[in-house]
Amino acid sequence: MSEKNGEKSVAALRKFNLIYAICLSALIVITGVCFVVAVCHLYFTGGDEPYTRERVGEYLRAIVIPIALTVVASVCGGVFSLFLGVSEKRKVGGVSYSLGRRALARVFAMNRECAACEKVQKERDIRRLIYVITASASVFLLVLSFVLAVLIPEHTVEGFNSHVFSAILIITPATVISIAGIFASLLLCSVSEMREYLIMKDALKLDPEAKTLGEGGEAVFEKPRALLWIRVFIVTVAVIFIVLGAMNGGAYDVYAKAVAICTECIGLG
Amino acid sequence: MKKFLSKLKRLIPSKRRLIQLYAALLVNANVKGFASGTIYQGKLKTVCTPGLNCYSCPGASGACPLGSLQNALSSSGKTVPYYIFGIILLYGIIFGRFICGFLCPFGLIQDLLHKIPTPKIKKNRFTKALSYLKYVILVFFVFIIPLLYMFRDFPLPGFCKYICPAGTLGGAISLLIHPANSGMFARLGPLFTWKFALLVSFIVGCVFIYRMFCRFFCPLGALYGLFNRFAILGIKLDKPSCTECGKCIKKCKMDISRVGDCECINCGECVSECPTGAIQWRGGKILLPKNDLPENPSDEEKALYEKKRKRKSLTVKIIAGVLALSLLGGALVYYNFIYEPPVTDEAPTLKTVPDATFTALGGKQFTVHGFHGVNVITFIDKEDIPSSIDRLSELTSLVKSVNPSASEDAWCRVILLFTGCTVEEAFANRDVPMTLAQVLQNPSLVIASDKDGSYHKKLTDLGNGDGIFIASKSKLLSSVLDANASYEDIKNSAANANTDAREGTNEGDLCPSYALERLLSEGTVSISELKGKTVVLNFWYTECGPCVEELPHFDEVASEYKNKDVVVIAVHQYATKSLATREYFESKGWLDSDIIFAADGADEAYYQGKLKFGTAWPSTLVIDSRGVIYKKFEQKISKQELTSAIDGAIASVSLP
Repeated sequence: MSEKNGEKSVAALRKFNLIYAICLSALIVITGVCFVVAVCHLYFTGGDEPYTRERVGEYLRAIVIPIALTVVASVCGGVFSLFLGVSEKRKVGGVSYSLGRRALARVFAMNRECAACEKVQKERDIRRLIYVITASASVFLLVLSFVLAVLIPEHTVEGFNSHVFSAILIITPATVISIAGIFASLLLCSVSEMREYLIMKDALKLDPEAKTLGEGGEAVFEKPRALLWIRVFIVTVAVIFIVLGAMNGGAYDVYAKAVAICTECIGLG
Repeated sequence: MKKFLSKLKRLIPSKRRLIQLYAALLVNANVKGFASGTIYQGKLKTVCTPGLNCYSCPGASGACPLGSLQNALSSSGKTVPYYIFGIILLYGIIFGRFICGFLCPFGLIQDLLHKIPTPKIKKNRFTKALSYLKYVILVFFVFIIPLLYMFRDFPLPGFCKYICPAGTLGGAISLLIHPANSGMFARLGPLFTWKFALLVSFIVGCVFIYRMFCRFFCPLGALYGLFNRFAILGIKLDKPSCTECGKCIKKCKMDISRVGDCECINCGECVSECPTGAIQWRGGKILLPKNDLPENPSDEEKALYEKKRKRKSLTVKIIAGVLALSLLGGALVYYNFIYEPPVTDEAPTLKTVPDATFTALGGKQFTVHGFHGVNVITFIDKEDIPSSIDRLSELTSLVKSVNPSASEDAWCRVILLFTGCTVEEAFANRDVPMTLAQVLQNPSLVIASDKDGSYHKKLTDLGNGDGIFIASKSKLLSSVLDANASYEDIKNSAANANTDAREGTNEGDLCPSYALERLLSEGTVSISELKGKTVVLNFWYTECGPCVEELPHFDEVASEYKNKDVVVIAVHQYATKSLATREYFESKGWLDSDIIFAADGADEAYYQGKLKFGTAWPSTLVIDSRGVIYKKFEQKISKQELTSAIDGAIASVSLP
C-alpha cells in the first residue's frame, strides 16, 4: 500500500515538474520576445538618436516585471528540482544502430544472396539518392545566390554596410531553402534508416551484448609514433610563426587592435 | 538528514565547473575595468586568451583569438599574419576543443543557462546537420569577408561585427552600463539592434538547447575541432576495449559521431559512462606514474602500489593547484592594483584674468571684471608714450569701430594702463595725442594707471609674454597679441573672445589646445594657432575600419571648404602611430590631400588626456572660428552630417 502511495506521489511530482518546466519555458520565451520587441521599438521609433540612456532606462523599466518573474521562477525551479526533483526513468535496451550496421555488413560480405541484405541495400540506395539530390540542389542554389550577390553594383564606401546587408539578403533565402531541403531529406532518410534497422533486427536477431568483430585497424595518424611526430611538427611550426609574427609586427597589430574599443565588434558601428 | 545532505552536495561545483570559473576569472582579471568603464590597455593585451572573450570587454585581460585573426586577415596585404596563426596552432595542438569544455567563458555561460529547469531539445539528426553551419560561418565570416575587404584596404571583422554575442554581452552591455560611457549611446544604431536581438536569441536558445552557440555557430570551436584528434590534452577512445555499445554517444549532449571527434568538447562526462573503461583522458600519463606492477601481484604489492599512486597523484594535484592559484592571484593583483592607465600631465590652458580696481582718467573707479564684454588690455610705460603713438592710433580705431555711438553697452572695451606713472604724469608736459583725444569720452576706452606695474606683471606671467592682452567675456585670457598688432588683428582676436564659453570638452565650451606632431611634414599644429578659422578635428587610426571608411569624406570636405577658412586636421592615435607611414598615405591617395595629418601626444594626451574621450574611435569635433566646440561626434559620421556641422559653425559666428 505504502509502495503504491509512494509511486502515486512520485507520479504527481513528475507531473508538477513537467508543468512547472513548461510554464518556465513560456516565461523565458516571453521575456526574450519582450527584449527583442523593446530593442526594435527603441530603434525604429527613436529618430536620429534612438538610443539614449533615458529611453533605454524607460524601456527596461517597462519590461522589468517579466525579467523579474523569469529570474525568480528560474531560481525557484532550481531550488525545487534540487530538493524535490525526481529523476526521469531511463529507457534502457535496444541495440545501437552502429552495432547492427556493422554486424549486417559482415553478413552481407559473407552471403550476398541474403534477402534482408537486398532490402537493406535498397534502403541505402534510396538514401544515397536523397543525399545526392539535396546536396546538388543546395550547392547550386548557394552558388547562384553568391554569384548574384557579387554581381550587384558596387556601392560607395559610405554604403558598404548596405553592400554586405544586400548580399546577405540575397543569400539568405537560398540558405533558408537549402536548410529546409536538408531537413526534409534528413526526415526522409530517418524513416528509411528506421525501416532498415527493423529489417536488420528481425533478420539477424542481434544479441545486445555482442562484440563487434573485424574492425579496421587504427588510422595512420592514430598510431602513437605518427601522432607524436604530428604534434612535434605543429608545435614547432606554431612557435616559429609566433616568433616571425613578433618580428614582422603581427604581434604589435594584435596589441594595437586590442587596446582600443572595437566599436564594430560590440555593435556600436 | 542524510538525504538532505546528499542533495546539498549537488550544490558543490564539480571539478570541471571550478576550472571553468577559474578560467573565466583569469581571462577577465581586469575587474576594476567594470568599475571604471574602461578597458585594459597594457602590453599584456598582445597575448591572446584561448576562448571566446571580446577584447572590448572592460574585464578582458588579453586579446580575442578570433577577433585578432579577422583583423590580421584584413591587414594580410601589409603584414603576413604569422603571429595569430601561430597562436591558434599552438592552442589547437595543445588543447583542441578542451578549450570549449573547460576554458571558454562563453561556454560556461551556456552551461549555466542550460541548468535552468525547462524541457530540453535533445540532439537528433537535425542538430547534427546544423552543427555543420559553424564551418560555413568560419569560412564566410571569418575568412572570406575580412579577405575581401583587405582588397579595399580597410579592416572588417565579419564575424565580430555581424554575429558574435560575446562582444555584445561582454563589450557593449558592460560598457554601456557604466555612466562614464553615456556618450556611447549616440553610437547605437541598426547594427546594435541586430546584434542585441541575436544575443537574446542565443541566450533563450541556450536554455533549451545544450550549448546552442558552441554547436551551431562558433567558428572558434570549428577551428579548434580540427585539432581534436591530434591535441595533447583531451579525451581519447581505446578502440580495442570499445564494444560500440553507444552509451557514450547517448550520454553526450554534443553532436558527436564518436568520442573525441570534431564535435567533442572533451568535457569528460562520457568517461564514467563507459562500461569497459575504453574512454580515457589524454595526457594523463604525463602526470601519473606508469603502471609498474609485476605480473600476478600479491595483495600487499597491490596495496603498496595504490598508496604510491595516490601519494603521487595528490602531490601533482597540490602543485598544480598552487601554481594555478598563484597565477590567478598574480593576475588579479597586477590588473587591479599594479597596472595604472596612463595619466597625462595637463599643460596650463586658458586661465582666468585676475581682477583689479583702477581709477580712470576722470576720477571714476572701475574693475576689470566689472565689464560684461571683452577687455582689450594694453600697457604703456611712461617713457614709451611718444613712441607708442601708432599703437594708440590702432586702439583708437578699434574704439571707434566697436562703439561708434559711444554707448554704454558696447561688446568690447579697451583698457589703457600706464605703468610707472599716473595718468596725469603720463600726459604732463605733453599734448594728448590727437588720435586719443577723439575718443577720450567714449565709454569703450578707459585710461588708468598701474603705477607699480603689479597688474602688468600678473598678466605677463599669466600669458607668458607681454603685449596686448585679450580677455574674453568669461574673463579667460583668450590671447596675447604683439604690442604692435594691427587694428584688424586686434579686432579679430577680440571678436573671437566674444563668447561666454569656458574651456571644456562639451559643445559650447572652448576647445583645449595641444601641439600635435605633423605626420607628413615637420613641425606641429594646434587649434590655438588657427583662431579665426573653423577647424574640424577628426581622431582616427589605420586599423579602425569605421575611421578609414569616413576619412575620404573629410578629404573631400577639406578641399571643398578650403576657401572658406576651414581647416581639417586628422589626428592619428599615438599608440599605433608607426602604422601611419608615408607609404600608407600614398596608397590611399592622401599625400596631396588638404587634410593636415597629425599624431596625438604620448598616451593619447590630447584625445583622452585633454578632450576626455574614451577608448573608442573615431570621434570628430567641429570648432568654430572662436575656438568654441560647435558640434561633437563620438561615432562615425556621414559627409552630410559633417558639412551640415561645418556650415552651422561658420554661420554661428558673426563679427559683432
